[in-house]
Amino acid sequence: MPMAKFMSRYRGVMAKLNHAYAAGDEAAFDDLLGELHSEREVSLRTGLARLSRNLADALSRFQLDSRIATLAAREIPDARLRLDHVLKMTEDAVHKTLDIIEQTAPLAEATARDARTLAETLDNRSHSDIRSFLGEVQGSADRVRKNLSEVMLAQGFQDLTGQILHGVRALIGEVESVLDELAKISGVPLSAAAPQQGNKPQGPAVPGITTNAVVDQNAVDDLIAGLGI
Amino acid sequence: MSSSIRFLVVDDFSTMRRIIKNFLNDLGYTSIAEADDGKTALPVLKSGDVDFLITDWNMPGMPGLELLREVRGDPAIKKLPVLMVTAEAKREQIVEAAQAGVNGYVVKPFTAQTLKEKIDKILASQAAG
Repeated sequence: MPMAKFMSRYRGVMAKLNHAYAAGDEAAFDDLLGELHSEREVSLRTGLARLSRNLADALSRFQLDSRIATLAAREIPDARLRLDHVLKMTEDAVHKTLDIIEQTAPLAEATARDARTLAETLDNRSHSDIRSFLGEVQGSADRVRKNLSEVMLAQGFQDLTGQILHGVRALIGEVESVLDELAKISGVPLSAAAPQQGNKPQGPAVPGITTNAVVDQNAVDDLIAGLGI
Repeated sequence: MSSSIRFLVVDDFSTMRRIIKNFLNDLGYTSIAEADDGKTALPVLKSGDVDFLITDWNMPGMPGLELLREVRGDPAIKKLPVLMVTAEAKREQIVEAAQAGVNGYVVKPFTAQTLKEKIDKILASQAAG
């Protein structure tokens, strides 16, 4: 309450209280305190009534909103599954890349070593073209080895993006339980969730979410052939 | 015989463990054990079969900072060199790790040169001390 309003509101009663106090008039003093108290109670009741009206409004709006039911029942759990799938796909891709690096690096190493050994066995006064070729082979193989090492370190991105995705996933989990709780309180049947619509593009198939996905190219070819194309 | 140093690489991401392990192989180190958090790392460390610990910070179970404190609090292994390799890059965190007794701190993503430098530096100061 602004100070001026506060002061003008209580100025009268304070003067009366002071007066009763100074006069030792206990009965008048008690009456005045009682007045103050009941005034407080009225404003408290008004505030509570306003709050409960707002709450009722909010709940009734919520009950009408099947969008929230859709979010709670399907979209939020879907989002969590999608993130899990991204985590798995990037992890698998990185392991596959590391597999290939681990298989390829020793080949480059062996090539560089063999080229060096072979060049050393050649007579210094002849075979200059072969020696220069072997030098190039050795240089290239060393370069391939170094590049593979860089590619390997670059795969560290999966750790960083993965940590961020784990964070977002935990957040989605929290939103999901809050929405579930809200849906329970308001009594919105989660079955009221709107069904997914038509053939909108939905991006890559996600296990556990995408139904009727044809993920194998052979199956796609069969389906297309079966359609007479 | 620097290549006989026994490393333990602790990270909850299997991809990162593999990257660091491969990198150590490239540097000529062949004895490398792995663990996916502090809880699984600690018994390995306490067995006394580790000469150098490389650990992440943010891990479920026991995080790297707690693992570092466990190591520094155990008289049998308190002198173990510890290099923290982590995405945690806040000033206060680096200070906290330093106060807990870390020997080196590398922020992800890192380059081959950075990681090699830190490992070499720690090994050199161990040899000198």
